[in-house]
Amino acid sequence: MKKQFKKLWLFPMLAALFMLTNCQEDYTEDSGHGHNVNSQVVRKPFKDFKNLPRLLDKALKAKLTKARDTTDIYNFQIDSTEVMEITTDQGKFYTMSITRDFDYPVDMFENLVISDYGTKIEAFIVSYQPDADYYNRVATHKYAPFTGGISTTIINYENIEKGVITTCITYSVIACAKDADPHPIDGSCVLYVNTITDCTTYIFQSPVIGTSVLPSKLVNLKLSSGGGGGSSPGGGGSGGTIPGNTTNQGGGNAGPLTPSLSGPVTGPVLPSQQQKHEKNCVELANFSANPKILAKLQDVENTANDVDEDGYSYSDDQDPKALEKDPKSGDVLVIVPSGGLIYGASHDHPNPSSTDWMPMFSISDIASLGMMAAKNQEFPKPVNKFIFTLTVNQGGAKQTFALKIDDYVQFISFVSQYYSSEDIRKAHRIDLASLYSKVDRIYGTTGLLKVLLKYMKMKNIKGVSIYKANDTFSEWTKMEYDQNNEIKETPCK
Amino acid sequence: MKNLLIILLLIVWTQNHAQTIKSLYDDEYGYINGAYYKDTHDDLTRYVGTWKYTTGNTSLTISLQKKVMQEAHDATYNYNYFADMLIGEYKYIENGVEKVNTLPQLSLVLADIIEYNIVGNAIIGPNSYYCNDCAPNDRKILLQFSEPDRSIPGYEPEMIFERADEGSIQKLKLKFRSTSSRIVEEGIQPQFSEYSIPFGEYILVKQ
Repeated sequence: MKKQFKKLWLFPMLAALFMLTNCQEDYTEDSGHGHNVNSQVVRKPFKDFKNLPRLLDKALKAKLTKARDTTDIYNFQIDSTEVMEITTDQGKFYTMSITRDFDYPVDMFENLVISDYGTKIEAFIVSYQPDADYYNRVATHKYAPFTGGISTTIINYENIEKGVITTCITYSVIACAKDADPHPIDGSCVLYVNTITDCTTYIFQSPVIGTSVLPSKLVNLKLSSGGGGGSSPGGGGSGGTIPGNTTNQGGGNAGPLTPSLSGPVTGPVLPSQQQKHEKNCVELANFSANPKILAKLQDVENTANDVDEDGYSYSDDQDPKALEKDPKSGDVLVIVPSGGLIYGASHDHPNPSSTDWMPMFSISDIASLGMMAAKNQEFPKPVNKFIFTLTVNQGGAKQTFALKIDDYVQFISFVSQYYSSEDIRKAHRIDLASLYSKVDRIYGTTGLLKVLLKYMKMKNIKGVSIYKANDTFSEWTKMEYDQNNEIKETPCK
Repeated sequence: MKNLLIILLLIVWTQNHAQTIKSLYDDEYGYINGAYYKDTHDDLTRYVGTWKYTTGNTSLTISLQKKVMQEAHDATYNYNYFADMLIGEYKYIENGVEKVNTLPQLSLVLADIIEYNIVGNAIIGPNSYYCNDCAPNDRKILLQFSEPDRSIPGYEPEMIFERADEGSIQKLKLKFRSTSSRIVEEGIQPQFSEYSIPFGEYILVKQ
């Protein structure tokens, strides 16, 4: 019996050792190509790549006004949080997330790829349209292989000015880097390469890379389970392939790969939370710096002593407007308007020391922000401008919180679901009321905020953030729920 | 050796299959996979029955039932938990005209408990924000409300029940309100801006 146990223990130990040694390779190889293609992946902030501003100048054929700002010429901003550098036998390839001032019509994100072959420097925009599972897997494994649609276009400013450009780009997507930690999907540490040829004719209506350059054609990249192949020894399970796509020049794990990494090599770099936070911070600063709005925020602070709600709505074509009282509620509640150029509202909740009202956002408050955003007629939608504030009285001290959108697609997905069914709304109310009802008054709004943030995390309410204002509304701080059951505060700089 | 192994296996099996029982009133709600949130103090039971408010030709009748160990499923994280719940339906007659009557639904076994028009299980005690005027032993019940085919964007209609017995007469004090503001689209007349039952406070007598 003892001997049998000893033998049984050996298997997991050997397996663990095997996986550990496999994943500590500095270099990964795509051995399926018939010849070895080494690639090394490094991820660092933009500022740590000293040569990158120079490369960008050359690739974009323009002098950047600021290190991270290409808005004047190309109408996008580079997210400087993380740049992925892939070094192969051919050259170096830099990938960074980019954001634009408008919101995408579908759930997608874009990367700028700079290829440096020594003698030739080029720039590409790679558009990723993830499938439903991708974000879930990324939440568990940051560098989980991408699945969904990919489209690439070359940035060629001279041709863009002519109105029509046909791109025929062969590029390779590295779906799992050696620094994937924790390891993707099934524990294997496989780097695999998909080589894709993507031919598309783009017709530009304006001579800038901007709203007119959304991909008209996507190449589907899917995960295949099992299949072997792939790359590093010991790799199995997770790998990439492009089933049934005639433009595919190869596939990660799905059989023999045609050789060569003939074009740029890249992989998805997701937009950072920091970038979204910064954009919200800019809009919050603009919001409370407006003297008319500031006066209304102060008004709402004063009325937070009352036993009813008060507030204002904000629109791009009008001065702040007092919210109408709702006669059906006995004038306790206000009516929040949406539509036109309305981009936000402020309101207070009745004073909790003299009423039994909750001094915190309700789920309906959160959904109302989504309604304001969805009904706003401005195009493109000013995603980071939408705002819904709540001022509460906490033992005499006033506290103002703001709801801000940081991912329109994710947020509207929640809001649509919320408004789709009375039962869904009721389920949220039952759960949150049960949680709110247990918060002792001694914990104040902080206790309620913690409950709300945890609830949002548990119920997957994403794409919206809560900020807290200081006494003068000159500073805002993002409030998040962290792993230690505490509120993490990230001030706007 | 064999017996020892069987005992060990039994212990492991029992530990894996024993259900965690949590107090609906005392414990944090709904985050433990497989847990049963039980009305350990029988707070919900005190509200079971048919209760009626009457003034002139206007009346509000509410029937409440307790359902034990109802399964709830969290689709986001794919876990289940169980909880005792109160469900209810209502009839409102205004000046002799029946405005709404959902009482027959109470005799139906609905696929999901959330489909009943009054449903919930929040037990409110002193120190809670919902209970500004509660004495140490007071307990209120907060239930969620809906009216068939009547959705009002923004509203979060809720019913807070509180025992208000007078001598041997069993009474309930009901506060019916929304805790969240209506949201409207400019230039568009909303289909509904109120429920058939007006917001307000009602005293109901047990039938």
